[in-house]
Amino acid sequence: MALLEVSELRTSFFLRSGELRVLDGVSLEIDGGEVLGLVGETGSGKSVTAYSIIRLLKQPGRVVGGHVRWDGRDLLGLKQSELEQEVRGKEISMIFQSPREALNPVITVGRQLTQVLEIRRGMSRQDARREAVSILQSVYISDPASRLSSYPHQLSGGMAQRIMIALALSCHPRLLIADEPTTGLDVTTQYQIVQLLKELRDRTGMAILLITHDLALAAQICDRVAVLYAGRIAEVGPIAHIFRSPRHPYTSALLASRPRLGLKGDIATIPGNVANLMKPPGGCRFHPRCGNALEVCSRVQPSLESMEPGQRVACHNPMSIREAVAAGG
Amino acid sequence: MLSIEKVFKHYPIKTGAFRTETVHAVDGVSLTVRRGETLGLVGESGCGKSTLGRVALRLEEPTSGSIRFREIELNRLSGREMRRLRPKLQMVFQDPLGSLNPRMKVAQTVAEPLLLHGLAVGGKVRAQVRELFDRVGLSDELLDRYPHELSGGQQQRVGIARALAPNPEVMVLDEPTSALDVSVQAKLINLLRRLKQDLDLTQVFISHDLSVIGYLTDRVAVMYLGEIVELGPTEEIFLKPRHPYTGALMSAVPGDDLLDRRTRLMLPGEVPSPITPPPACRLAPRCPFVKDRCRQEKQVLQAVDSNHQVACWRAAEGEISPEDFERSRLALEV
Repeated sequence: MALLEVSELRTSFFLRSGELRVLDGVSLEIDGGEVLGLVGETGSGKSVTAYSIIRLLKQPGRVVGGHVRWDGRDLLGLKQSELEQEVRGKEISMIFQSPREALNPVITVGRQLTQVLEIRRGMSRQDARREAVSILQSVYISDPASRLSSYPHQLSGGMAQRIMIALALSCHPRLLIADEPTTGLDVTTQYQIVQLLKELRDRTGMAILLITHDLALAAQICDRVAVLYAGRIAEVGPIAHIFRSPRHPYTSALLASRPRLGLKGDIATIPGNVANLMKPPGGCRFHPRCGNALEVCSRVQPSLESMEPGQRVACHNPMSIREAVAAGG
Repeated sequence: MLSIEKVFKHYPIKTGAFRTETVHAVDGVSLTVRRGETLGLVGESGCGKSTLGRVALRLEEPTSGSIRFREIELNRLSGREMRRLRPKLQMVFQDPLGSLNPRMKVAQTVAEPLLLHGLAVGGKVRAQVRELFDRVGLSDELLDRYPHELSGGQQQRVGIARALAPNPEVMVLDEPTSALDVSVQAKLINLLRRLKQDLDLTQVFISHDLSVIGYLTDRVAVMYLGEIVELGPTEEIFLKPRHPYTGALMSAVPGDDLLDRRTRLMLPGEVPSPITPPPACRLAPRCPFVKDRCRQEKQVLQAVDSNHQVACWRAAEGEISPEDFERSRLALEV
């Protein structure tokens, strides 16, 4: 049994203009200790997936269907108090983009850390302070004792994110959800953060759900990858298969649209625009932009099916193996 | 085309109730942008590339130094003279939504420079705007929309159309694709490449995204803490970097095979504050190849080839090389 099981998750945003069907049947699984990447572009629903799982969705967003099972327990049906005391922040923790914005600007970093430790782990102020220093050390913050008196704006993006990671890990969660944790950070800092996450995963055995639009980032850390397009999983499997032999036309096009040194001519692009979630295309949501589209694609939504070389693909007319390997990046 | 000579840009900043310190955003940069080339300006946060871009077009005054556009010294010009030259020196900004007037229809935004500089042809403004829209790949039906009604990619195209309206000779693009998704970015990059070919534009492309820089530029200037540390042809900078900082940056660029979990040249620590940059070589506190001389002697750009300069005495004297950077890389995997 997987640690986290999401099946046919549906989430909609109820606006005055209508219902935005953001997630339309998302299913995924994460085993203990594994790193699953959820990749997609803006509007794919990747952050909404995370918020739905951990029940952080705010109005007008609402989960309208599907199940989320955490360690066998029905997460969506859990009482709010149980969710907050037992699961969120304890078993499942989350870090976000723009870490400095998530920190209270008028309180020192040290105080924010000790507050969490005092409340969450019932520590005394003194013990909390000591633990805070140790936490900062575990994420390689130099000079941790004096860092405690810094305010968030005095931290670099990389440092702030490391502190958020430290905070998220302070209660030893079994799953860390990381929502675009390195977006906005310099490329060398991104790399440091990824290394840190890998190391922490190796040390603690926690699983990670990494949400990102950055394929190169996913490549650095993920064991498996799920590609999300317009609220549905297009393809999921071990990262080597997905990246080296993508079967879904969207995955293939996404990999091909990266600019590279030495590339001659135009970059291959995906025609059209992201699906309109208010009036999504019938059948496969990608079909209006798909080079492989058949008549059936506009009528019947494809379901995830196992395909060579070892992934599950939701497509009526996937790339052939040869095409897939040629397109792989 | 555009010549930047010994430009400094310092900002005063209050660090205490009675203390004011100086942010050394750009610290003695000299650079020539050649006609028709796309020059990339790369570096991490705080290196000064955006500031340099703005100062180069005289959108901000340098603290000292001069900017020459076709032999005309921009800093000496009066407001009126500068305004007359302004059409030739245009900028595309980083935040597409933030740089468009939210209360103006996008067609009006693009028409503005035409009207401002007297380039509108009689009653044909609308037709001119249509042509610009067409050139940047925007459909006519977007003409009368407001910025918030457009997607990020479309907003950025409006910004480009506006910059193209007055027929510029030099265009500075400050992170034009950073806020965009991969597939949207790809389309915009293709557009920029085509524009450069069709219009014989001279472009300065500022970005932290090395993949985009590698694809789009002819030459690259690498900046660190307000200084240029290396300057040369794009391919050389990427494949045979001479400066340790460039070496570290380039080792992080993903290759064709994303899963090739290659090694990286690691620079320990973080970038120091531009308020108190290290004396002498600014990379010295973090450089794996540092020697005593690095901490004592200020580094300046030296030629290592006819078209390639490095601000590192060890590189210039052949003591360290791209091969050394390769060898010093650390394995990623545990």
